[in-house]
Amino acid sequence: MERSQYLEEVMDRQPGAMIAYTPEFEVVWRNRSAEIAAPSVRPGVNLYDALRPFTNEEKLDRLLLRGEKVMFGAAEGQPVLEWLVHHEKLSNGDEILMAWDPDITDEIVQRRATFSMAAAHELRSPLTALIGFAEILEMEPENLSPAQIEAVTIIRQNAVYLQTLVNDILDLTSNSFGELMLELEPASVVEPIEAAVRSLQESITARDQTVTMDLAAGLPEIEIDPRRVRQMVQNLVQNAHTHNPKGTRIDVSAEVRNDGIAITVADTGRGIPFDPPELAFGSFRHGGAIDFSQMTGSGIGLTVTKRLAELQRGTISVESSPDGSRFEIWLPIDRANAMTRIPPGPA
Amino acid sequence: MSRVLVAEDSTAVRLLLRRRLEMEGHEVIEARDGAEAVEAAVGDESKDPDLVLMDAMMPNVDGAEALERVKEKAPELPVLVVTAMDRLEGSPAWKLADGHLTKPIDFGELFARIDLLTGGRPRPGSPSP
Repeated sequence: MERSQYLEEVMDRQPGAMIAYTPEFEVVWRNRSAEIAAPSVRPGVNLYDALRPFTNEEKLDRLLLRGEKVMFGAAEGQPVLEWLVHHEKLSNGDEILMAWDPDITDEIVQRRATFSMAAAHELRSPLTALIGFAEILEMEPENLSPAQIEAVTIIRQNAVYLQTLVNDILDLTSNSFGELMLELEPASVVEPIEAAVRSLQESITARDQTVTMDLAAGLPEIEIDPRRVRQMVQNLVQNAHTHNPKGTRIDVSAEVRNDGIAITVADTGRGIPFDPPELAFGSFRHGGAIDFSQMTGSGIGLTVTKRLAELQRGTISVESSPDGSRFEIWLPIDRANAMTRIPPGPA
Repeated sequence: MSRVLVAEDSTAVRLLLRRRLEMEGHEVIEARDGAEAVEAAVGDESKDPDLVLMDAMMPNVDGAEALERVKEKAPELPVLVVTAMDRLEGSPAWKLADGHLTKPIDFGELFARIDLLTGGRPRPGSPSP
């Protein structure tokens, strides 16, 4: 038996599916497991297009553009597979996509994530009661003393904050298993930004901080998930508010820049205690598993914000000094063609 | 105003829903799990609710099964599902629901939905507008 034929047979006997493709996504070769799992992904076709019928664009972006591990079934009635771009390229630059049945891997990680999702859901009922009864008290302020009004306001504000944290944890756990999906529509960023600032205005003022908004006139509508844009801005403003002293000024602005819309949240606080400041976003991009030990108090919100920016094919950057920090979310105006690839690093 | 059956296993949330619904002028009947919800919705004629507010996750009979049983006997009775999840999934029964709300509950939206779903069917004997 010739050596190449022999190696071909070795590859064909692998239980995992393997697909080799060019940097332009043209499928070059596949083993037999890949042929069985996804018959339509054959040599010559475009890998991105060939996988599209099996899953959503968000997952394909995460898999092929950002090198994350994702899960989806390759065909009706077939088991859900885990997909990952191997981080070692072939010597001619071609890449290898692998897929395997998750039953044989990281069951423990999955169980842990299932637990945090269940726990987060359990938290939502008591939070509903907390926020709801605080609101009932606030409906008749004339029955309360000023000190009681202050107390109930703080209870409600913190319950609402806890609710955003719970939502962030849910987003992180579901995102790591690839279920986080965007609801995209052509929309302006103005309303989500205003809603985010409005929701924190009272709390900011109460701490003797100020918040300003400077949104450029005539910002174009772009394809975004408005609810997620609001969540991102709210996370950044909340972060600037919570981690900085009294008197801090928070400036939120938006303008057109580099074929996209740049949303900036800058503060006059004391800066971020990370060097480089990008560490604040957390460092568990690869493989999709969550390492909660990597998170700090501000980590959850910032990590979620970064993932949401990436899901919308945008970016997030940060600058920090002892005189304050400056976060910038950039979202592409032409989302359909903004497919920047982040090379997968070591897993 | 409507008679609302609140099926919810959390005592605090059930009481919250009662208070807010009563403040809006609705009448409230309570059920603590799915089995009680089905009984109150379609088993006990004296209860006769105009609308059911059903928690998705409940002991004994869960929300999906309770919804299915209610709709089997009374397809016209509107059922709003309240869930702590982001979306309803895991059961084909959810498509029988007349809508769903997520926790924490947006009461403005809840009241609007109730009015919309019961608006065309005033209670017999209630004063006409």
